[in-house]
Amino acid sequence: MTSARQFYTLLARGQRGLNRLLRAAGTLRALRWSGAAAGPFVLVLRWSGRPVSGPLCWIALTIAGGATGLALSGRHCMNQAAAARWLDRRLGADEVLSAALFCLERGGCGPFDGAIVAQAEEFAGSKAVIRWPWRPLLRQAGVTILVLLLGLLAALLPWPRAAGGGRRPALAVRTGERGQPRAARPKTAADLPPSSIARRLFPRDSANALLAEEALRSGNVELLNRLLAQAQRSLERQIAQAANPAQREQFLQEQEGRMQAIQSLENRDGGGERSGAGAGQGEEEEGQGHGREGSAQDGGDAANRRKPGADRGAPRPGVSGQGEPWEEEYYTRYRLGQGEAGAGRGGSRAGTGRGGVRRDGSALDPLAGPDRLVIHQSPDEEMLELVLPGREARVPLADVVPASRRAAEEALWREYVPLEYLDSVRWYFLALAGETAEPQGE
Amino acid sequence: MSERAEAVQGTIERLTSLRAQIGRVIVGQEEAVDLVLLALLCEGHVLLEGVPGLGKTMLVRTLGDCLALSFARIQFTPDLMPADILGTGIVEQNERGGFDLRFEPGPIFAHLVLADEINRASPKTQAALLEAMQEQAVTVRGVRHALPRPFQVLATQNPLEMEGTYPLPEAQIDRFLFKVLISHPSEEELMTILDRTLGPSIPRGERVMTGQEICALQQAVREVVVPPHVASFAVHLIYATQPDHPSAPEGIRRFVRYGSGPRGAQALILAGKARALTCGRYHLSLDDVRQLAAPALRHRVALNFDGLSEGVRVDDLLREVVEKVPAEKERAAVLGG
Repeated sequence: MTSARQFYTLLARGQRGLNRLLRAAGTLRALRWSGAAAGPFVLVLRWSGRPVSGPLCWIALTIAGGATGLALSGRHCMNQAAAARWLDRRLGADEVLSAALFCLERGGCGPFDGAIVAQAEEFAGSKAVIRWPWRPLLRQAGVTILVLLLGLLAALLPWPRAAGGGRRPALAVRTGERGQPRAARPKTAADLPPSSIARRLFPRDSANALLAEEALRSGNVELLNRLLAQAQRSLERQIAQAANPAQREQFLQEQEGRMQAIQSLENRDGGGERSGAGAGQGEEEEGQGHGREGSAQDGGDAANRRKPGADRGAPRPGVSGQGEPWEEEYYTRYRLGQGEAGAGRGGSRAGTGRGGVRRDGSALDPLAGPDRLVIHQSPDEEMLELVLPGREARVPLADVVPASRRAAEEALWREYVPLEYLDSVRWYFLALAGETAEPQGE
Repeated sequence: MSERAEAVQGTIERLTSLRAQIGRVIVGQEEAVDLVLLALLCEGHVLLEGVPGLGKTMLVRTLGDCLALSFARIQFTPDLMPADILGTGIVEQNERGGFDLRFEPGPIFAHLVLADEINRASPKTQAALLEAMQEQAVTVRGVRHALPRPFQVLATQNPLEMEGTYPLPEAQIDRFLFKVLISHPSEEELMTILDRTLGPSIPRGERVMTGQEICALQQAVREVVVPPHVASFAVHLIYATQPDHPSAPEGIRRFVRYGSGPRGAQALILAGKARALTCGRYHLSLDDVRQLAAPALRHRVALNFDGLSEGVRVDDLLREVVEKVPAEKERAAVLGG
């Protein structure tokens, strides 16, 4: 068979050039797609507050995409047969190159194989220049450059700052002490809204949580202190009476959680006006043998010591003639069982305590029998009071009040109670709940 | 160049002389002449379609004169019997005084047979002819009589008179390699025809090649190399003519009842080989297949009612197929074709 050197040379040259073009096209395509995708990706990162450098990140992603495209484009390289077909079309060879390659590959066993190879050799010798298709590649390059410029522009865009000027976004990295970047400060109780703080302080007592929320909103530190003291005493009693270690552990965790919340509040307020949580040693402490009235009065006076300008929320009925908030008076009034041993332990022993002062100054003695019901609507009017009955009957308030309270709550939810009496009913049962939580006896 | 190629090359060069000789007698009709020659080289038969008086008989007669081949013309009529075509046995007295049955070959035992107005004969007679075409032999009373080689049948169908005719069924039309459309000559060509035929002498073709040379070329045609991608392209063309195939263009799907089959692919490749050889090439090219798609496939594609009622031409549909079927899946966007 005749020599096919020039034919193979032409074929190799064509295959090499075509594969370079294909790799270049594949790389350009990968650069185009990666550059286009990297722009929005970088924008999303910056929007999310990640500490990224937009241009550098974009450049890295684009180069990585281009390198990947260059590596993968090698899979689509042309073989000799494909190169021969392309050369046939490009050079107008009437498939002589493809036919010659076919004849050479099968060993030239056909009667015309030699003639075909000779024709291909003659054709290859006459074609010294191959016109490569640069135009499509240049077109691709132009589109790629345009896309890359747009992507780079998107990555370089300065992120718009907030109207506050200089205020950092919530997820931005803030520099901590000693110039070290630190993660965003974990939220403490002080960062939470009053409702969340109240739920943290009283996770199992929704009634006290409501009171605490109200106290936080209005800035009534005294009320908050009293609630915390009661809750602490109640929790200590429950810890002492825990049925099993798991339950005791649960109570201890609740205590710890309350301590942490109180600590964070104190830190926020700089120590504030609050007393230590859980001490339960304020002047409102129950069962200390001190004059109940005095303590009640003190409590009432203490209730007067509130933050100036604090928002009291909805106007509350029952403010005493002395201008005391009615809820403090109400609460103080029904803290029973003071002054005598075994008595005055509060609501756990209904009707056994003494003390409590009506608004008109008369003593309230539940042992004297059921008192009349008084509806209190305004500071000058009477307040709803339900004096627990009992001569010698000793019914623990803890057994009576929760059911009554639930009924009252339901009545409130179902709007059975007129609006102006909602707070009265609520505060009453909340106070009773505080009474029932006091430890029994010494 | 190999010896084989050199031998064939000489014969191929005489084909050019053959064309020239035919051109001395037949005015115009270059495409028809080329297709008839190609069909002869492919051992294929041709269906000529055209109105009377366009030189169909003259073409076949001239071809026979130039190739020194016997020529027979069979005028099909409704009462034509198979024996009138194939031959029959004749009783004759032998030397001993007895009688023998001697086979008298019919007109089909010629190299070139012109079956004129084949649609006028009965289906039985048509079948006898087509069977002989397929078998290249005639069997009479259990005796097989081979037809001469080269053997080619050029059949005509009169498109004007449909009354009392028996159009060939599609399954039998499929046996023809080409369907050649004989068109009216142009004014210049008609002037030339008048000048040649009404003069003192009528030109006749001179012998240029022999039948053996035609047979050699027929063998050479089968040895032409077919690159794989060209064969694949031919296959794709065939499938594109089938309306149910996904690659079929819109026109095929809408107007075609059924498309071509394997015989169409064989016709494309074989005729392409012959064309390549006559063009001085020893390999088949894509252009060969494209150029022969219409004559090789137009009688293998049947129009449906929509196509017939709208007057759609099969040639237009085949042109659409050739344009839309790609040679191969290539990275044209990158490489620029």
